[in-house]
Amino acid sequence: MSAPANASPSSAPMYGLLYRAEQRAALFSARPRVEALELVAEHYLDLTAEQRDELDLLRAHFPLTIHALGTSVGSVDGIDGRYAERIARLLDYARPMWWSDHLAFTRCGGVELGAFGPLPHTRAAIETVARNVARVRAIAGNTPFALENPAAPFAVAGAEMSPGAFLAAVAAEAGCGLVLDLENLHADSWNLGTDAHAALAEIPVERVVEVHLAGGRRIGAEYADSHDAPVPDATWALYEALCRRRVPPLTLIEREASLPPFASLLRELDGARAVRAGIAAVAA
Amino acid sequence: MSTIDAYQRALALAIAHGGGEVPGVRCEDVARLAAIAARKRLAAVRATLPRMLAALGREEFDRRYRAFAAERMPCGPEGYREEAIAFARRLGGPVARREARLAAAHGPGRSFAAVRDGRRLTLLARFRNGSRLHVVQLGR
Repeated sequence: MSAPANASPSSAPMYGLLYRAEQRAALFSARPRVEALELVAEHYLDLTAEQRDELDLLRAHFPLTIHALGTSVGSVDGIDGRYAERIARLLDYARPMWWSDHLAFTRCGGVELGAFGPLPHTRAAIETVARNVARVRAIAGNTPFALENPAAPFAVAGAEMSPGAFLAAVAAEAGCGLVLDLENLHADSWNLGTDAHAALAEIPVERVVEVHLAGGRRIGAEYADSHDAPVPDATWALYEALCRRRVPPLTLIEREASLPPFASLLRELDGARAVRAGIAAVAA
Repeated sequence: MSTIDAYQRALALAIAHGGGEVPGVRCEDVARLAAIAARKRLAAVRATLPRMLAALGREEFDRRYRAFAAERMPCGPEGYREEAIAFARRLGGPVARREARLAAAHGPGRSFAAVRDGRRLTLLARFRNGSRLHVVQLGR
């Protein structure tokens, strides 16, 4: 899937934020600088009157994307049909540009892992994901779907391909877009010793519909993809490398915790815009 | 059973039981994934039980939660609230019992709840001007 036709009224790249209700007043006052919002699906799956009101308000002012946590597209148990039906109802109501979930499994054998279980980089995993994506699409409807690269706590032995090649192959086989979390690539380089720029080079940029920028923190010898800190230089460097190949349709500052003053998030959005402007200036 | 099948089932069991052999994965890596899941659950439980967190202090709250969580199956985001309620009930005492009732009464599908605790009546409402929880307490 390349960028959906409805990615933006002008098809110009957009710069947005992960929506946090506690920053709503600031968000609306800064609306011209925030061009799109990502909503976490799990906050709206009940579609209560309050949730509908909030969705009505947000979709009236912003293009939306929906980001889910529990589809478990990599699970050998298949898709939870009830969850997919709730997603379908949410998509039908919110009408986002696209929706996404993580390239991982979160449940198996009746156990909820409570974390993203990494997939082995094998043909069997690709076939599993492609089968599940087809199933969830059959239930959730025509809204374009994209997969995000989660940070991997470990690499599963027996890999048949590199991380970047795996991501590319999954997207091709499943026929879906990619949400590229560059901070997760950065975290993987710390924790697994992978080369983030090499992984990025293998990713088909025409499939990338959305980029997540965030910051994490060191916990002991590990780097946690906590998304609760400013975007680090290494992640900005990945973003610049990506934009040299193609500026993504949507760039999102994905701050999940330790929310800073709203102005800090706006400055990071402007930083992303500046990367694009700098590349355009050099090209000119 | 295929390799990926065996891997996923073994990892899920290991996470559920706090360890175990997983084909293709080192024990410390399994423990790391379990720790990540536990951190997420703990953060959610802290957010759901702010009064108990304040009453016990973070260190004691975390210690008691970890002991509680060790006896339970892991859960995903949709199970965090139920787990917090169960934890508060396990803690016992008036503050915990009351906070468990408040959390249970004010689920995501409800915009209004009333909890009576002796002579104290607490009303909770989720107002439409911000979807934030506002607590109104009546009585002594």
